[in-house]
Amino acid sequence: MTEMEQQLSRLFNAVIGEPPRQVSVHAVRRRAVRRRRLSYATAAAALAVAGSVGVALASTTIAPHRQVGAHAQPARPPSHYFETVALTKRGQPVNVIRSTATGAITGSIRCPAPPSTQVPLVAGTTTPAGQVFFAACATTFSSHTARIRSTTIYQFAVDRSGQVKDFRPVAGGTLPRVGVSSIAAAPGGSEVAVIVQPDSLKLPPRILVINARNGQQALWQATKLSRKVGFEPGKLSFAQGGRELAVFGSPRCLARGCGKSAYDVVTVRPAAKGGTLASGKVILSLPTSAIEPLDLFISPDGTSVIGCFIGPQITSVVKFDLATGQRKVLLRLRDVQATAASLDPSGGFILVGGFTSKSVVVNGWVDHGKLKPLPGTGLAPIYEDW
Amino acid sequence: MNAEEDEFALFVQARERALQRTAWMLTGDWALAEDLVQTALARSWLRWDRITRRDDPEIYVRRAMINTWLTWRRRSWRGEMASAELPDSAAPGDLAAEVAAREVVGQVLAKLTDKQRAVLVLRVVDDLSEAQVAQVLGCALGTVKSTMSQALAKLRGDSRLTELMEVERK
Repeated sequence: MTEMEQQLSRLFNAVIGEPPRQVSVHAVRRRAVRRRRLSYATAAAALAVAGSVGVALASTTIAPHRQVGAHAQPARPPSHYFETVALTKRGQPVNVIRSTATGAITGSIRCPAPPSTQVPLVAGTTTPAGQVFFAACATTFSSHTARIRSTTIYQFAVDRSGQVKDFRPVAGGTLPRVGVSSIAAAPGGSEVAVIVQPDSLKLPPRILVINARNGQQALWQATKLSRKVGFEPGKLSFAQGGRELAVFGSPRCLARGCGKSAYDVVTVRPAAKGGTLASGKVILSLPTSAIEPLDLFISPDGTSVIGCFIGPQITSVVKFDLATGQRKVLLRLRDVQATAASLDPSGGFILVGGFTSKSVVVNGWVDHGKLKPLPGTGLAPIYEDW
Repeated sequence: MNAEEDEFALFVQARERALQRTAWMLTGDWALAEDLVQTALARSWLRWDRITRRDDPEIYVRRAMINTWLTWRRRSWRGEMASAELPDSAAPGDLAAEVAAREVVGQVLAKLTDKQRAVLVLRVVDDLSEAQVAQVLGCALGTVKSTMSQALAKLRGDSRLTELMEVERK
């Protein structure tokens, strides 16, 4: 180094200071999982093979199982499901409603008010009249920027024939200057919960529970589980008829003497009241592991947690029984990277989508330890829900 | 945890602070620096096995970080905000002087092109050799030398930086 370089080195090292926060392995892995969803979907679009269908792969059955909750389950999965796939060669996403039985596209969804991100987050539930979905659509300042102007939550119904009906904004669902990173629908569609991410990395995420009938909002502070333990919420789901909200996320030690779990599931009730997650109950703690949760859901009766995990060249669906502490592997797929997973409103059917190292698309639902294939386009889903 | 995961976790634990410091020199903001390091590491994690077999992980992660930062720079929303020039002399008091010095360094670095800034940070802050810098940036050794020389020429003319270097030397 020259003398000037040495002087600059001393100066720069003196002014940089120390980073205020630590970058954790878990945070990195979570980000990698999110990246993987999109990159696989784009790759699948480039390799689109018309007419190919979902492929059932040889899977290791450890615990043949379909019913997740303790209560009676419907014999059939929901008649339709929502799916976002990258249909064009440029990877442009398309949001469709697809028939579970035939794979036929019966409707499509487009976020209104462009410029918008065209990959809405969607959560579905069932009502006596059919299925109801909530979609969070983010509007950006322009088509060249990712900066979010606002996020609007829309509601739409899907009737028995799969037609999309009554697409409208949810009362109280227009959220200025925030993005949404997770969405969940209460049974019957009475409430919708979202994790909102402010338009600044320095502001903490929060959880909003919106009454879809009157627009009333309840706010949950989600950054701390206690004085010692910070929290980063990642995923929401409802249980107990919508009275209980389960929040899956990563705890962070703020002081000495706290636990070492990598992921926690916290429940709060009543969901529509609001408050702080510190008043909730940690129902499940997952230690650090080589596999990473893609999605976690609480069963509708609140007795178990179901997770879809991805690891190097493997996807597993695991059920954690909260009463006994036992875990059961419901599905294990070798050489498959899942990109999407969803639990149906009855808690009986788990949708899993992804693809293999040879870009063969895998999409189906867990049925007695195997993946029952769903007919489709042969494109890996970026996102799906039923 | 398997051996590969173990190795990655150890790497993150050992190098994250150093990587964040480099990222701060590039972005001038701790939140963005953290974001940049996480993005680079997330990209690397997906192919960690290959990286450790073929490459020096440190070089690979730094390359991912520089490339990500250059991509961000091309997007207008990540553009740096213009700010008023600071007074010539720092305000009294250690904290104020520290903040003022940081601001001056940020403004001086903003005068450089992205490539010049990357070369300077890798060479001076990370103490990489010119050959290693070339490896990270994927360019010829001669390009690194000439870019470094252009960067230093730009900095040499800045009186505020010269003053700060004098203070630091004492």
